[in-house]
Amino acid sequence: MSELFGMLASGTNPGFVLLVAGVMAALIRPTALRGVVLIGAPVLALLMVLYGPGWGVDAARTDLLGLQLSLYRIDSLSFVFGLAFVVATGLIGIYSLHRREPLEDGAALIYAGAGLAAVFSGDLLSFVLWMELTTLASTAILLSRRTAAANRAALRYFAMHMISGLLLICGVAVIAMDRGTIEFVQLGPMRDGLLVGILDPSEPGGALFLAGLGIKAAFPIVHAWLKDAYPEASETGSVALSVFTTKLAVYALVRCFAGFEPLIWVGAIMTVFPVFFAVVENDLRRVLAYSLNNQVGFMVAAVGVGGELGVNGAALHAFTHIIYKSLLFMSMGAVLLRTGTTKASELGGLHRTMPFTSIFCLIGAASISAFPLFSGFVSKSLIMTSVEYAPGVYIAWLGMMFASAGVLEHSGIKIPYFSFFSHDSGKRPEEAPFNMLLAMGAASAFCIGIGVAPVWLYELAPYREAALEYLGVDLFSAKHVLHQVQLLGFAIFAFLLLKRMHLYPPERPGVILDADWLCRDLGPASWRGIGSFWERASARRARVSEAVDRWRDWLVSQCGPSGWIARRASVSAGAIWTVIILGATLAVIYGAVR
Amino acid sequence: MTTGPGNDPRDPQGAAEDGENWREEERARPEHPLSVMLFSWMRTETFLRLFIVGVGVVSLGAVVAEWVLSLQSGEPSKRLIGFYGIFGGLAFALAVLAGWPLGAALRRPETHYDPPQHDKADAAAKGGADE
Amino acid sequence: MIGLEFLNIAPQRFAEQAPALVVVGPLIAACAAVLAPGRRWAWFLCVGASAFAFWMAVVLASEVARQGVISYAMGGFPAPLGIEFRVDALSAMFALLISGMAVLTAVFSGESLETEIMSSKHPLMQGGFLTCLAGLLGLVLTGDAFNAFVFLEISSIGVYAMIAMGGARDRRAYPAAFNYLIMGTIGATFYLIGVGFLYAATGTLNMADIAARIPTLTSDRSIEVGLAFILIGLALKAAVFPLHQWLPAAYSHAPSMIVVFLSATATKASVYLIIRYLSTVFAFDWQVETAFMAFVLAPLSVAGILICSMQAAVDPEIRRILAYSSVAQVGYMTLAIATATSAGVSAALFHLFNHGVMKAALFMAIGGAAIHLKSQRLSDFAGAAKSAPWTMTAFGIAALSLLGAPLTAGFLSKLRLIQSLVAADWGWAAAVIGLSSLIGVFYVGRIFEVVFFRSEPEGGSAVREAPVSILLPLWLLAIANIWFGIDATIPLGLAESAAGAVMGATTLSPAGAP
Repeated sequence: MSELFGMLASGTNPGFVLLVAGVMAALIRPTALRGVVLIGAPVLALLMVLYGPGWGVDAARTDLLGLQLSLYRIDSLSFVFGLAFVVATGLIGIYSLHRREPLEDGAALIYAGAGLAAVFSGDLLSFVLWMELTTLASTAILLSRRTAAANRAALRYFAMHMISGLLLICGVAVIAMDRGTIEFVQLGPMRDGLLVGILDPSEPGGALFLAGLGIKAAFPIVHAWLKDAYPEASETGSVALSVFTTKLAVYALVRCFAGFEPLIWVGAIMTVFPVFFAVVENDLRRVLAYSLNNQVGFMVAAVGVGGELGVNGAALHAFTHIIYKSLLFMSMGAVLLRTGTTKASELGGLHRTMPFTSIFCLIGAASISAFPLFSGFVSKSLIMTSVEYAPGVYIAWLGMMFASAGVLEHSGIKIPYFSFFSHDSGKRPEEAPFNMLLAMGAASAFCIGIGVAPVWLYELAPYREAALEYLGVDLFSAKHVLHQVQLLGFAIFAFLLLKRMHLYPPERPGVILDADWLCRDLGPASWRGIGSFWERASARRARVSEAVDRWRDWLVSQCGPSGWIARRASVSAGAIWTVIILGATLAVIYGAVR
Repeated sequence: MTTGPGNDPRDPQGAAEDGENWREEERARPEHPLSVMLFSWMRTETFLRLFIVGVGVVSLGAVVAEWVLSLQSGEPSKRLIGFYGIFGGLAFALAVLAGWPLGAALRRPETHYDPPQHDKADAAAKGGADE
Repeated sequence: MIGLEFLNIAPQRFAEQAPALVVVGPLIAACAAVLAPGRRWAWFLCVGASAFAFWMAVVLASEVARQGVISYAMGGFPAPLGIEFRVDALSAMFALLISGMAVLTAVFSGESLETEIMSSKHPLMQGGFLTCLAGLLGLVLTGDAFNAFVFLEISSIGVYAMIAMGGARDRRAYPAAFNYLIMGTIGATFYLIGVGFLYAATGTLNMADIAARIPTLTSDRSIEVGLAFILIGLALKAAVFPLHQWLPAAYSHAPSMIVVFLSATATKASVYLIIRYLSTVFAFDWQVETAFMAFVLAPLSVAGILICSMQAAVDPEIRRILAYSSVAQVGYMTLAIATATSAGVSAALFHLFNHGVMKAALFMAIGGAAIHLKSQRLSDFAGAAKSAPWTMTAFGIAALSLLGAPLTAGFLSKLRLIQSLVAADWGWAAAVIGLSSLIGVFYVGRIFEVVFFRSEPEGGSAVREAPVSILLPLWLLAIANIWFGIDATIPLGLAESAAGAVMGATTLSPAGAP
């Protein structure tokens, strides 16, 4: 038995186990049996990660049309991400046990499997291919909620990620042509045998790759898909979505662009602007999506710093983030399940009947706000320190400080306060099902465990020595802890004062415009504007939008069965075309011979 | 497995419609003993006042402690004593207060992105071109 | 080479006659099928004759792999006067593809015809099918230019008749068959005129002989004109844009059985002849040809890829969506051929094989659903995955392959196409393929959305699970789609040896260069 496992673990990417399990889960009807798959597969994958092949070895190579792919390669960087993914997959499995949606469970496992396989890929092409599969699987997760809004969001999400996938594929193609290989090739000196910073963003291939990853990581302006799609998924779907895509992008950014300084600024902007949107957003899961965007910003900034501290910061923050963010999404999922909404304006006072969920949510909130003794503090400190000591980016550091206070506002206070406390909405829902509580409890245990005993996490760091040194000297130094206590204490004080002075903006139902305004409002509106130019005489909105619709219908109909193209598909037209092409051919041939 | 209202993610509204009954049932659900133990005493005004004072004391205490530490160590502090506290409080206030103008500028009715009624058929046709 | 060599167990004397038997078998069976006493008999004959043809094709392929080109003098009259069957790796690959698909189609036809055609006409249908099979096999094996025309016509006549037989169920099949008849005849006539020009210039009809004599001629315009006529005629048969107009209607209204077979083989056989003429009869580095490929074939391919993908993206009928997509896919193949490199031809052949596998599966699944659902509107397939999970899952796999999702055959062939285009410095063409893949995402996505995620209509979906005799070949194809997406040894080996057989001797020069 153990020999069999040894064979499996030494040469099989653990993602494959999840992929197979995903297909099985999608086909298995009995809930109990599916539960076994949902939990058994991550456990097996976890064992495979822990007892995998040695680090830095290409454990499974294959040949794809003459391209050498490395399907399984672990090193200290992919190990952290892979471990976090497996743990999260297990939590999601437990969390979704009560559901009867084989298709969604299967899609989630396939999503996780593709993500894991991508992290453990040893070359650029297989990484990108697995990324494509995550796109398909995550779209399926969105579609399986089966509401009209979710379907529309899924289409937008899919379009965005197809563009990103195309950029990545083109990037790999260009890199392969320039370098003649798709392997990871270290640029510059290598530290501790870890391949990081392997692409040069000033080359065309690297730039394309960065652009593709930028969409996946939800860089500013192209971030709208994130807040658009994640809140439309089901209560379990949004947990799964929150884990993989953006963190895969962070992983790839570390791997490819660690130390690329502009990323510090991109990351800083990413941390700051979602704060403002999150303040006014009413849908609490959308607030969480903004907060996800903001947290990924911290990681991106750390990638920009690079070096041992930056890489450690990005990787470890991704680890803790995956757990506390899924914890928060899980708690909001429980609220959604029990009340049917996550709108702050319709919630409040749920702690009366959902005490466990409230406690778990508070633990997640404390973690993301980086209270000392919670997991966020442990990893975010690395990032803040690394940016603080990077030359010439003081403003970025200040921005991230601001964002730290902002995180406290939208994730630390707004989420638990408006759902579980605040004014009483009169809702008295049942406590979440046991399996959900179990998953949230386990995630909470991780959050507190890491916060209290960070050495456990720091042992996993890509640059272990540097991380342990930081742990010994800086992390729990009196000064550092005091600074954090000041920051959080005064911010909470400000919250209490503002609330008492009725200066805190009330939660109102509504849709908040964001960068997706560009394609969802400005696009149609400009068409309408052009339409109104023609129809100025009767500038009635209905008439104008009719013109827009006509234009769109025209395009569709021209390609459709009764359209211009198809109408010209008669026999006589065919004959005429034949003659025309013959004439053209003869002309070309005569031209060529002369 | 418990089935409750709103349990069906496909139809959260539908669940609300089919019953004033479950609303009644919900109101009747007593407070969980754990929340009585943990949270119920938080609702009093006294606690709130004490809490505000407590937070203030802890925060100021942290500033004082930083000051004492910097005196003890003798080396000059890199930043103003209490910089983090001041910055945190101001940043928080800025973020929250920005909610007023931003909300006014960016908030739209919830139906903003819903497909307009009159061309619902078109929207469907766009999705499938086959209706 | 293909893992089926164990089938090469025919006695030596028998195997020697394989080039003739592979054609004659189905042809005789066609006559017998028409005379068969009942539809069961006709079906058995059909499956048996197809299986026999496949067996002979395997024998041929393994002989070719062993000893190179096989030359078979029909009736004992030696070439160039007699008709020569000349089998090389390219012919063998097509013979395998065509006969293999024929076996699956024949199995599929049993239950499928049951609902679509009056049972008294089943023998006619099976006869037509076998005629078509014989014609296509002869077409890819013959080494004689005029004989190829004959086989082209034999196969087409079978097809015309079979499409028209769909008229009992869908009256639009009549005009579709008529249109195809007219267009196909124009194509065949063009081809014949071209062969006439070649004959006038060289005095022979044997392809190898023509190829040998052309270099000795001094600038004879009739060769060039002949080339133009032949290529246009074949382009029409291969449904190269904009000469494809017969195809969408024919594919969407004909009986399922013939669509399954046609989509996987018929246009492909014409692509075979195009490759044959471009490489064997003429030489790829001839400047007339490079000019044709760079200035006619490549632009038409690009236009076809983009426009037909767009048409597929908005069409409401599921079979026509697939038909338009077929035209676009033919564009991929001709685009790769137009690079005039060995890699390009090999990529085109590889894609041709994979496309046959995926399109046959798609049409087969639709055909399986059509047993209970007369309509072909995409919207009527809403929620079909719920009521027919096995059929529609196989459909989904093939659709993913069509999209080019990783781990499917379609992905590898697209990758190969792009590789070959990039290697030939046709980066822009690779971009066109990328763009059309993006459009492909929309039409496949649309189908997926309807079939898998839209809820069933009131009263349940009309789609029912297909019977076992359909599921069996369907799943074989679906699994092949995945298998060839993971381990492409078989199709890639076939494609590369075929490309090597025709491109090996010619010097490669990039298109456009003198």
